[in-house]
Amino acid sequence: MKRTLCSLLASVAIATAHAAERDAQALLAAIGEASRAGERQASFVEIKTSALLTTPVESSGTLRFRAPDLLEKATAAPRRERVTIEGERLTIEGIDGSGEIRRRTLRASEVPQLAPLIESLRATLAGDVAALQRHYEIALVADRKPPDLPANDAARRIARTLADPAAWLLRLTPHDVALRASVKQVLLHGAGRDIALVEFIEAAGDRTQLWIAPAR
Amino acid sequence: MKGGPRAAWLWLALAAASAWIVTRATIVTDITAFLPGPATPAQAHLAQQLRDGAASRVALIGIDGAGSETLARLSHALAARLAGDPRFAWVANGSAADLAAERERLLALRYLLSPRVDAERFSEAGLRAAAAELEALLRSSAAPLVKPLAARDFTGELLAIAGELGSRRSPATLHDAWFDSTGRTAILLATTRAPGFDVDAQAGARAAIEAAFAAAAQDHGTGAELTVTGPGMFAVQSRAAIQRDAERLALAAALLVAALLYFALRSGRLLLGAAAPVGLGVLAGLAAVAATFGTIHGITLGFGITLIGEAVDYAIYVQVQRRGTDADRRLWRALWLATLTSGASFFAMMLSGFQGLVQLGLLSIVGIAVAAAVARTLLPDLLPPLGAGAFTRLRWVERVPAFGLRLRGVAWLLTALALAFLAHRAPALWNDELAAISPLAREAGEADARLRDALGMPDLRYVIAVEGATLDDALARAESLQPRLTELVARHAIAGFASPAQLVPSRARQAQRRAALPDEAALRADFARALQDTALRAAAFEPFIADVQAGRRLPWITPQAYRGTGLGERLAGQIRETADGAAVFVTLAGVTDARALHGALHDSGAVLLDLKGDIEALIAQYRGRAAAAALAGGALIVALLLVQLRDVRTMARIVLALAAAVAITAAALVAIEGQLTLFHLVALLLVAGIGSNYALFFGLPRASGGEEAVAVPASVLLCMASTLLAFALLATSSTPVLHMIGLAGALGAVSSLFTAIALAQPR
Repeated sequence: MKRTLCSLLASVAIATAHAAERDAQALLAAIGEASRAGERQASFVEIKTSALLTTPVESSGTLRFRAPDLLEKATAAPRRERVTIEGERLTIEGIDGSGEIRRRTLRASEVPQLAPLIESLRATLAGDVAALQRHYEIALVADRKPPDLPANDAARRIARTLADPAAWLLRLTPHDVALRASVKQVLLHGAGRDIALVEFIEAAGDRTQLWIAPAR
Repeated sequence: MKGGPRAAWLWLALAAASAWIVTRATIVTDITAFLPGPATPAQAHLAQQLRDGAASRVALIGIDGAGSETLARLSHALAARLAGDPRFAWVANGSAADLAAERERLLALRYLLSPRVDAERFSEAGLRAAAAELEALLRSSAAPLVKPLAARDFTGELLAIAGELGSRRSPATLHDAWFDSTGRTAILLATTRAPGFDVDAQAGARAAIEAAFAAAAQDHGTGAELTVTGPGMFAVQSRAAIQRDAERLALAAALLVAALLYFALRSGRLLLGAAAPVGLGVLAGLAAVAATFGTIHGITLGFGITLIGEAVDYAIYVQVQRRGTDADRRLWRALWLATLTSGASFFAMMLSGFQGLVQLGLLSIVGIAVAAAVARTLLPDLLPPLGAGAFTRLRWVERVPAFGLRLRGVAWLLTALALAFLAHRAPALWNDELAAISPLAREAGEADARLRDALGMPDLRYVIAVEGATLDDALARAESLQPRLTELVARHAIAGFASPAQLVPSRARQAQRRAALPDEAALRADFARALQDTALRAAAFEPFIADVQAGRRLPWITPQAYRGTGLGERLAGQIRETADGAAVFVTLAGVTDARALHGALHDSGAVLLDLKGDIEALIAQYRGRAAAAALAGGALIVALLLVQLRDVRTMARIVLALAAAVAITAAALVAIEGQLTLFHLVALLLVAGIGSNYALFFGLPRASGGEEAVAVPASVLLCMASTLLAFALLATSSTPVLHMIGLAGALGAVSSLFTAIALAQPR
């Protein structure tokens, strides 16, 4: 009797897990479909909190995604910088202290500490389940909590959209042990087919929040 | 009849002694034995380094034929197995652990390595600049790259060092393993403990790699394929290929020649009789080489086969041409002259003075001398003359000499055409590239180049050698070259360079950097002030303060500091210490302007070695000497014939026929192969040796009718056919050297016979 109950519970748990994965896949499919409809543009505010810093630091700029695999993050303030990934090619352009433009092009596989982090957003926008699963275990979190309201005004406006009960939370856990040492989890918060916040939960209590407001 | 049973016993004893010597000799395939010695001390250092240094111990391993995840798993399994094998000093497959080990060493030594460490950098102003840079990085998208080490490496010295070392392209990494850029081949790097020239040890290492791979592939149940390259692995491979080809082709040649002789003469005894001069000649020749040089080169072994074609001739002449007293007298005289002229052309090889050719010459001279002596002393007893009926089937041969005389005009025309063609091609007649004469099949070299390129290893064409009285002296000199080289990189004359002094700075430079590091109190005070107007939290950077203090106490950096990492392996290949000095080698990548490079190094005391250019110049010089020796051999043949024949006209006919045969063969070789190599030249000497026999038998006066009129042309035709068979088989070898000799010999046999009947006969 007891055993039957146990196995019943177990099968329910498995069924739930399967359902969660199916739901995650359905959600990603919907986001991907929306992305294929046309180029996505958004403005962003990034807030970094770190033990190395006395206060959180902010930067802002625009994000652009074009199906199937181009993602560009152009920071306008405080210092101009642009990171572009297309296919396997990663380009980092920045202006260094002396005002000179530096440009580096790498293969994504050459920077295993960075490329998977960018991939978490790009693959989600593309609805590319396989690409996400290459780096992460995917879970749609059922009992999600909206994130704490940030101090930044623009970010606070975005955070309010997540109060909607229909909002969702996708949790990505890196497979790679080396990567997990620096990033424990990536949390993607969204509503409908839009991503509102990407949170990188790092080691030693550090975290990076990327707040995204679609340009209408 | 000479000798009798006593001679037989003597020959048997010689055979036994020779066999004993030959079976104890080692076979080597190191191509340097066939090359002249290095000309300068720097070249000598480098040649030595390439022969037994770290570069010679490298094995490059490629795995393909499966999905990238499976290949990566195989790569890790193979690396784990080889790491536990005592035959290997070091194994790497690009895993994070490998790279972390390298990074850890550099991190620990960074304050004595970084070109940016000076007093200025650790002043308040310097630290303020470093703080601004770090803060900007932590705010940027590159933050995940900087963060893990920021607390220790506040001033970013590791990045500065990586920037300096990073002129090399890093290989692609997939699933924590090295791959080529297509992602279809996983790559590993291993170094053996045994030097590259120790072919037996290298064979053991290769077998270990293959066994480890087979076990790993079985565990993962795949049909993936393994490629192993590298100098030591090539030595194993080419030795096996040459040995296999030599054995297989020798056996095939012996069987085919035997079949041919049996078919032509229907005499079982002849087969037994022919085996005696062939076997004894080859054995005695190899034994002479082994006794003189201690080892037998694989290429010499290949030439051993060609002796079969030559020595069997003597048995044929003895069997076929003995037809009564007069005929016998003429036979022995022709045989004696044939041995002398062949010997003269082989002696020419020895005149060149290079070890490889001396081996070949010695092998051939001893081989034919013994074969001729056996033919003279043993065969008359062993082989009773053929019965009169033996020639009835061969009557048609009688018409060959007359037919040949009608071809006179054709022969002259062909010779003239051949000479004109050679003159036309003269500007680009010779290919002096090392690859052209290497015993290695071309595909193996291409696989090696592909793996090297994927790993971003430097191309070894240009290397800068810097010598010094001590290692530190050489390192200091290499250090002083660095500004010039950096400027060449900026001017795009070279893509990059790797100097040992970047990893092991001179003592003076290390002392200078150590002295620039402030004590703890001064550092803390300046650091606190530098961070005042920034968002950086001073307390988070305690590891930095501690590391700077540790830097002040670092012992001298020596090459041993990198032992067990890829950097250590790279250094071992770039440093050579001997009792009376040291040399370090700066490797270069992407040399686009060799002239600028030469110019920049002018009066620097460093020597730019152009391996390809230097070796090609040496080969050309070597070939020039071999050609001069060939001319000397030709003169020797003329002199010998003149002295022996005392008849200028006969001598002239024979020598002209011989020269025409060589010219036609050379032209045919150029037409087929495009260019000639050193080994073609050597093969042409062999052709001269063979051709002189045919020209002699047709050129010397003989009875105009009866059996002798059949016997002489028949025996020469048979000889030509057997020689052609032996060489044509050799031409099928996949080993380039054996193929070249085979083709030249086969063409030579045909053209020699042709010119002998057309031009050597008296009208």
